[in-house]
Amino acid sequence: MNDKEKDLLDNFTKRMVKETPVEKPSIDFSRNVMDTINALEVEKKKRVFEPLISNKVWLLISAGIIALTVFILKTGVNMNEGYLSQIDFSGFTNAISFETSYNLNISNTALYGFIFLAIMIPIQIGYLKSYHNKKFE
Amino acid sequence: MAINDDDYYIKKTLEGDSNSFSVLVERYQNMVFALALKMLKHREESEEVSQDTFIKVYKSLSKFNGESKFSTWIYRIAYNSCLDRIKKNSKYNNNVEINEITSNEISHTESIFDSLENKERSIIVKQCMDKLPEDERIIIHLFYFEELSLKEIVGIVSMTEGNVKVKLFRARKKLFSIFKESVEPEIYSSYER
Repeated sequence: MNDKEKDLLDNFTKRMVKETPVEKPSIDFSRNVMDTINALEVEKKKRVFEPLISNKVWLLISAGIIALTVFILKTGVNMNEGYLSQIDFSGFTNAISFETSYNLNISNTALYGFIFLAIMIPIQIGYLKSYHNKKFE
Repeated sequence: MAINDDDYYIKKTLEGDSNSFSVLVERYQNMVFALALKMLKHREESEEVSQDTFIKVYKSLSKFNGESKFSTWIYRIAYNSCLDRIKKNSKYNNNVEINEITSNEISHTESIFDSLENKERSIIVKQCMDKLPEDERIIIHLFYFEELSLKEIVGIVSMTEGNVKVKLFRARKKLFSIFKESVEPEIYSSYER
């Protein structure tokens, strides 16, 4: 095929192809696409991970722990002579009678831990309750 | 203007305004649908694949880096989606015999083409296009109908420029042969006149 024939064929092909009708999708095509996308977005929002404890709260907790550590190290508080040693827990400990029944010795450190745990549990229950209430609203 | 402000709507969509995406859908739906129809030759299936294409575009919009035109990027996604569908169906197979073409033949066939009525011409050409193998049909459509450059076509169909040129050349000849064959009765009757 020479160049002239190639040009003729090129022009004729162009004319032919331009004759094909412009194909259009149905009228509600765009709406269907957007409905699917909106449904995807709703699904995505449902699945977005929201941490129970925000970064801000973690920062506060970390700062508190660091401050406490620094305070203990600076003031040289002896755990056995801590604030709790000034409180009379005999009523409590006698009531559950750990020492008498199981012959257990509870250090002040362990006691601090138990008290913090006891405080944290009601806080978390309240927090979780409000979180789930919001979620199912 | 439309192409330049694609970036604006892409940015707005990525910022969470999903309604901005509807502007892009409106803008490119005909183009994507026409391509799908050329490849799949089935209206409902083409519409389905076109919708899937826009969902894919939406989901991977953040991956669009602007190296190519947005339209080229959408075309590529549409093209690959259609290929996947074709592989799944594996029912599209076309073989067309190519004969030598002379300038006389071209001139004569063109005069037959001109003598046809607009509507009839459009139907015949569409039928002829549908008889081309799918890769060649797409290249012809992109090059002559959408008037894309060879470089843009290369970006869509993942072939080398040389390969696209060869396919384009072959497709032109095939389309001509198919058209000539379909209007052969008119050619003979014109010889008799």
